[in-house]
Amino acid sequence: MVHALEGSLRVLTPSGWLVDLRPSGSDRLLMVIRDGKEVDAGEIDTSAGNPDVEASDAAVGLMVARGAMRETGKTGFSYTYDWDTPAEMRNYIETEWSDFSRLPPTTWQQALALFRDGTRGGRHVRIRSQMHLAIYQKVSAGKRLSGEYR
Amino acid sequence: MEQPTAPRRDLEGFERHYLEGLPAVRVKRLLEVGCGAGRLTRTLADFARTVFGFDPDFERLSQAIHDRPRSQTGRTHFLLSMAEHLPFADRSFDSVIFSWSL
Repeated sequence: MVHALEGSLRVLTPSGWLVDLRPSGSDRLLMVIRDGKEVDAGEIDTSAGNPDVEASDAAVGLMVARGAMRETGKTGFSYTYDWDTPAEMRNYIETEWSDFSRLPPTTWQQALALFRDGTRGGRHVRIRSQMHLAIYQKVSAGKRLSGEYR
Repeated sequence: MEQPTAPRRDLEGFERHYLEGLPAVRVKRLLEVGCGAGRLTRTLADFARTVFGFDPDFERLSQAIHDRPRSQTGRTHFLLSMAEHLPFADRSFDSVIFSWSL
C-alpha cells in the first residue's frame, strides 16, 4: 500500500489532492425494511477487525509522517447495502465479507422473524455501515524540506 | 455455494452527496485507483472533466467499459494496471482517488 501511495503521489501535481474513500470496517447494523421503515435486527460482528483497514491506516499514517502529504479534511457518512431477502444477504456476507464480518445467530434469527412479519410486497434487508472519507494534499519537496507545510 | 447476489449500494445517495461537495473531484484530470467495474467512475465523471480509472482485474474493467454511458465516452478511460506501476507521467493529475482500494 505504501508503494501504491508513492506511485500516486508521483503522478500528482505539486499541490494535488489524494482522496481516500473506503468502508470504516466496523459498525455494521442489520435492518429489515418493512413498508419503508427500518427496523433494527442487530449488529454484524466485526470484532475480529479488518487487516486491510489496519494496513491502510498504517500506510497513510506513514506517508503523512514522512511529510509527503498532509490531511486537509476528514469525515464519515452512512452507507447502505440492500438485498431483497435475508438469504441473499447472508450468502454475500459469508462469501465476500468472511474475512472481517460474521452474522451472529441472534441477529440472523431476529432478521428472519422481522422479515416474516413484513408485508409481502414491501420488505427487504439492509446493512447500514460507515464510510471513511479523508482528503490529503501532496506536499512538494521544497515545502517539505523547509517545513513550510506544517 | 451459489454465486452471491450483489447488493444495491448507497440507495440514500450519501456517497454521491459527499463527493459532489469536494473541490478535489471538480478537477481537470482525476485518476481513480482500483476502479473495478466502474461504479464510482461513472459518478466521478459527472464532476471531473476527464477521469482515468485503472484496475488489475481484466474482467471488471471489461464490465466498466461495457457499462460506460455513451455521454462519458472520450472523458472516461479505463486501463489495466497496478497502482505500483502507473503508466503516467509525473505530475500529470490534479487528483487521485483511492475508491475502496487503499
